Amino acid sequence: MRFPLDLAAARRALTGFRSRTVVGAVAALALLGFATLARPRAHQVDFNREVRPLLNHKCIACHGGVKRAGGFGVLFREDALAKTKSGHFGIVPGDPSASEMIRRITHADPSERMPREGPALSRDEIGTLKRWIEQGAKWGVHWAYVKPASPSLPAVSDRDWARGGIDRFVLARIDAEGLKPSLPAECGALLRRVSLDLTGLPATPEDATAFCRAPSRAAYEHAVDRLLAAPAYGEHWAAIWLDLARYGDTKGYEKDSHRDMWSYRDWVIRALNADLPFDQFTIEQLAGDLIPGATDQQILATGFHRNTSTNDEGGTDDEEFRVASVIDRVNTTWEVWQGTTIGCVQCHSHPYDPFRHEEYYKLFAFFNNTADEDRTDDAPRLATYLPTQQADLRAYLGRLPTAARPPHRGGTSALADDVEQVLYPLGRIPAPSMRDSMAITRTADFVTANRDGAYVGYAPMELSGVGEIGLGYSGKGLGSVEVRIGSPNGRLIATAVLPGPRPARRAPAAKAPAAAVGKPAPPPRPKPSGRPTRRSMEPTLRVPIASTEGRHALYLVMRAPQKPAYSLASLSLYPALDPAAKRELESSARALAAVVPDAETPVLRELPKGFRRTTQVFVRGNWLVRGDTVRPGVPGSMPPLKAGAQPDRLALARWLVSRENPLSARVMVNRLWNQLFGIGLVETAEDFGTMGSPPSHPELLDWMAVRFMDDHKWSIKALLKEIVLSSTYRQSSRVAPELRERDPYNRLLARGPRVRLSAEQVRDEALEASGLLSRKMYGPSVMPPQPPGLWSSPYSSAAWVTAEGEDRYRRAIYTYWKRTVPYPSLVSFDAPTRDVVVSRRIRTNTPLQALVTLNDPVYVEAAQALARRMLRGAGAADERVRIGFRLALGREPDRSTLTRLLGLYQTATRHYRSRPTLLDGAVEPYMPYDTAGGYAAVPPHGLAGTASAYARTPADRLDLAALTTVAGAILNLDEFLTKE
Amino acid sequence: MNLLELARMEELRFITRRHFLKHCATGMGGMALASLAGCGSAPPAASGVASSFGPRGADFPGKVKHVIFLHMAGAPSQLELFDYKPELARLNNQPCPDSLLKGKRFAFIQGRPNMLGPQATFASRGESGLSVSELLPHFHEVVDKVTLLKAMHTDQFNHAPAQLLMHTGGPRLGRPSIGSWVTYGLGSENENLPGFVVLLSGGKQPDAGRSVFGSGFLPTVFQGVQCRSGGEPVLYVGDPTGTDRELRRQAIETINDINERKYQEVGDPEILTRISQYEMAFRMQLSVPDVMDVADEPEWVHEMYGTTPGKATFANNCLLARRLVEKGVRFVQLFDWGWDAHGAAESEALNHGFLKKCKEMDRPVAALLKDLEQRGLLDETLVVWGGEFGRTPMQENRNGQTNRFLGRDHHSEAFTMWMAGGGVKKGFSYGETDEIGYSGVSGRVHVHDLQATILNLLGFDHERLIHTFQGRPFRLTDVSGRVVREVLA
Repeated sequence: MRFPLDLAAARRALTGFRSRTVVGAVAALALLGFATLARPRAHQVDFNREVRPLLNHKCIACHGGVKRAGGFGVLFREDALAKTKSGHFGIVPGDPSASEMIRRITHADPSERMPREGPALSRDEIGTLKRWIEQGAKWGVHWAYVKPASPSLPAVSDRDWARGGIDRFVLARIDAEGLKPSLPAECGALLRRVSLDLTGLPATPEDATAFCRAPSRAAYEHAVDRLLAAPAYGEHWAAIWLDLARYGDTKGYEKDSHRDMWSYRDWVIRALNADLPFDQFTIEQLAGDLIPGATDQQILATGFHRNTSTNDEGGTDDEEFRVASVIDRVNTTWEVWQGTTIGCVQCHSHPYDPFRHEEYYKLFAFFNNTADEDRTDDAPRLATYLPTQQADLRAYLGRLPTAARPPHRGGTSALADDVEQVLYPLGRIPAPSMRDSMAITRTADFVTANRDGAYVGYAPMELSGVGEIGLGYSGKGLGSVEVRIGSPNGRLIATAVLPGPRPARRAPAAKAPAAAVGKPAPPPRPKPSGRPTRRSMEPTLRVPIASTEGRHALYLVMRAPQKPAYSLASLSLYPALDPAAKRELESSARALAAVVPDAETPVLRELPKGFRRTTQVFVRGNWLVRGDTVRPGVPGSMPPLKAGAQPDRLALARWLVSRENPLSARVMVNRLWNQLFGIGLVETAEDFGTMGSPPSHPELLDWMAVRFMDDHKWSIKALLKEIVLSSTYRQSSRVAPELRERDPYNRLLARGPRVRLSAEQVRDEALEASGLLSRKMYGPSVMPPQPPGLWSSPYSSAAWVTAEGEDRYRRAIYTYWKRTVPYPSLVSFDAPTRDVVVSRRIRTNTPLQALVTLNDPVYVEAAQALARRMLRGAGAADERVRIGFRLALGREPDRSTLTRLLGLYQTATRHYRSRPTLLDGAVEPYMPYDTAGGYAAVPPHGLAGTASAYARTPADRLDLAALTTVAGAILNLDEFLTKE
Repeated sequence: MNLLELARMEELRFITRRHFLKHCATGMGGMALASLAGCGSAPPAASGVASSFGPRGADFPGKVKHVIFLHMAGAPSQLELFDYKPELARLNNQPCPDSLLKGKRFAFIQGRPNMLGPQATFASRGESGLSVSELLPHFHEVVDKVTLLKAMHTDQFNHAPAQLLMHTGGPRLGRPSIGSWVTYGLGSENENLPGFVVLLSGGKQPDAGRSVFGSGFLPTVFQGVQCRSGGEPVLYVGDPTGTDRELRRQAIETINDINERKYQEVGDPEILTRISQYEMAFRMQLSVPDVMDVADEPEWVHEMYGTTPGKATFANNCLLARRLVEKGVRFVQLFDWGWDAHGAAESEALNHGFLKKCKEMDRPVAALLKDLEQRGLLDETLVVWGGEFGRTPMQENRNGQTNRFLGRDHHSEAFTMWMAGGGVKKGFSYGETDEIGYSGVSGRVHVHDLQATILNLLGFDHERLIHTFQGRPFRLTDVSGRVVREVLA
């Protein structure tokens, strides 16, 4: 075999197992002894191992979940045993000779014989099917749908090597293959590996030196504990999770404009650093808003599913893209937690796995009642505040006189919700939720009245106790709005006269709030900086309504709108209050509205009762063609939802991480494994179904899944620690030719992993080695140098503004992620666009990557900074080169490497000596994308700035130039770009 | 590793020691070579397992080797350019009948718009006598080389989704673009240039962004590489100020020497791939700027295309497309933004901005066809021209009010595209729309049909060019598509 490991993964990802071209993969499987799994054992036919692969490969394309040619399908047993169109029974349990299926696969007439147009089944295959029918044609459940049980640990050849369960399963397999594990990795390599794996950053030379002085087991464990506790841990693993969350800083599609999602990214980092157990991590992201008494952070977590794209293009149908988002949420949830490709079921029953078409829409129904609807403002959003603001707001709210505090709508303990409640005591409804309308233009966020008599209607709402309604509107037109109930001609309960031209909406000025009646509570502090406006839907006009009891549909009828027409943005309801209480509430609202939040992050919010959507099956997946109405529910082939639970997102989230769910723990354990070893135990991390690849170590996978749930209580850190402490993980990645031939993809784990670094790691490591890396955490995404002219989205003025100061040198996870134009150097190293969930990045090895690490100013700057660190070292050239190598790779260079680098140093010295301009270019700041100043504005950080601070004499400058060339070479070594 | 492979690996190591790699390498590197820089010399799958990671290969001999896809982003009006409708002229300013509005979705039209007659005159041109707008005087000279598809239709009436459908076969984000599929299937023919090159003009990227030339779920090596007329022709292709060619060569040799020692130590073949990629990067640094610099073209060529060296104009990009194809680039994708003639502003009015766009587009496109032909390249190249959808026979009335300028709304049911080059009929028109150009009445061609036809001309069965992702086989044409055999020569 000649494909390197990465290639193997890519290749199989590319072609899948069914492709005839995957000779390599199949050969590899055979080598690994998987073939033995398929051999009949005893006389009892095993459905999963022997029959299902046959049915999947030979029959299911025509007789499956999509096509059921002749009325015969082999996906579900009841279908397979049913009478076919011809009147015969395809399968008669116990009686092969009466089974039409057997008659057809053995038919002599090629036009009758199955598979049609394919080669005939072999004698063995036919024998297997016959025996299976004879034995009753029992269906088996695919392994992944059976709840994992903890298998007992196998006996192994070397109990010293096998430190724990992981090693026992791995070694048993190695023993069975007649192989031996590799030697332990050298201390420097091991520390570098585990540092990159746990924190995304290499070990410092100091750590490496200390560890290698006494590389005991205890010292290693200590190092692992330190790495797991480092803040960098959360940043590294968050970067991985964000591929699953399809996190981006923009909305996608045409305008691809900015979206404030970074608070969600920060939530992920914090949650991982705090080691929030994976079950809770799951529940909060999928349904944090529904947790009783939900906190701000729990609601923020639901940003996970607000990372779907929003289409702001003019003339789009918001409902179409809202539906697209819900579909994406269903598919993403199932891929991330269940390793299941449910997307197929959108249009038809699953071709291979046990999911029926209508079951997709039962899952859809869980997600179909959130309030977001592809609006330009991405509502609903959660306002979050700086700590000082939080304290002020809480104090202020706590001191509000009771009369001014509307009855709590309940549900959450989020500060923003308390504020919202004062601002909109009885709720606020965005315009596009309106049910019924005529002669209006509906854009993303507004409805615009075009002529007299135009109206919009709202679903019935409770009007008892409502004293006023508020209309959020904009536009210059004069006119009025009649508020009617029941129908556009129903009872008139209010008339609002729009007062004509008004200034553009803007955030309330940061003035001192009017003193609340009763007690002067200190006003909450507005945020000092001039942040963008908020509350685009704030009511701009409030009118009293005639006292009305009960629930009514509400109609707003436009009268005499003038050109240009006015636009309605929202409707809000206010309680009937006595004048004093009303004044108090209003002044409180003004005070609160003056506090501009630190961030407003799109989140999930369930629609209130009365506004819930019903879900219907989309016939053949076409959202415009609706079929039967369905209620939320999980697929019939899976364990049921907890009895008695309200079937909502919260119930679904809890179900996913319940002890009964067969997949979530396995899928997550496999993801972690995939990160550490470069390939999962189940290689198709995204597909655990019958068409995914079988696990290389099924028992190990189950053992770890159970351990993750029961012993580690879903602690990711505990599981990671157990894996990296294993002998399996600590092996050297050196591979002898025989072993590489035997096991090219390291599926047997008889050696350690050797994998190219991720896009994020490549950047972070270069900055870390050169001393430039900023460890500043959290906050809005930043813009390190990027070539000009890349951002040119239509109808968008958004621009890449290169960051100054330490924001130039932040970790890659903080780099601004524009979906339609992702940061080019990250994309070159296989980062996805984050349009949709990506479970595995396919690693490539291309010349464009070399161009990045050779020429991207970020890497040139890193080489310059590393050279400065080298220059600061001892005087002799070889010592300087050694320092640079150590800083980059955490180990001493061997003699030949040192010689080679020294040779380059000497060549470069000669070269620069006669080329002063080139020399200046090498040592002075290289900032081709910065308009002005650049470095001058950079605060001292690492060794940035002009060269004069580091190299005062001409000789030093010459040295520095030559060292820069050497540093650049070091930062491009394969070893530097690889975890080994 | 069997002996044969071992021998190849040794040979590879030997070659990379002293020379730049000449053959398809191993691993993803091999694939990168295949897509980015081609390995046309290596027959696909000729050596069994070992090279099965090269390009997939065609299903049958293709009629063409290259594609130049000229996408007029924003969607030009077929009613002013190719599809003349006298009846529409008669109905000018009449209210649109209900039958055309009922149950239809439009992007901006509200209520009842008026019909809008053709805003250009038409005449029969060329020996074929095809009717073409007077707005395209240069196109008259090449009309006998093209096949018009006058009853194109699509499913989408918004720009971003329609562009995604046109180029990736699906209206949502996440799928590979046609250029990615083609390089995935065929590789390139030049080992120093990317196999799939994208050129933008009009000041904006396409509405759907890079996703229309992205690789979706195919590896990133297959994504379109944007080459630019201004700034660095390919990102990071230029040496930084402190390095020159000689020093760069020395540095790369050092890197590769140390990497090779590493390979001897750890035995990871991926290292060999990296060695070859560094060498190829070095070569690309010369070859890319070279092909992107049009200054060496003779004056008459500049005259013919109407080029302005150094500017990101559509004319420059047409000339570059010819140069790239000449060098063996497989798929050249042009996007020219600014064709969205709604009539809401002067720049996007049929009677203003649109005329300017036509003028900018007409000459270079005609020049491209003539130039390809005189170099003998037109027979092995397919040129495709069109937008992502068409325009309505009605005048747009945004918000129910008449727009300030003349314009038409997005229209998914009928529009015109054309193809020229190898394997396609010449001076031929396929498909007819009804008397006002609202929908096709014969010879309708869906976007998936067009894609199936393009793939067919390259030698692919569109139902067999498949990639399995997330447990499902995907193809460019989704679950439909028909090769339009009627237009094949």
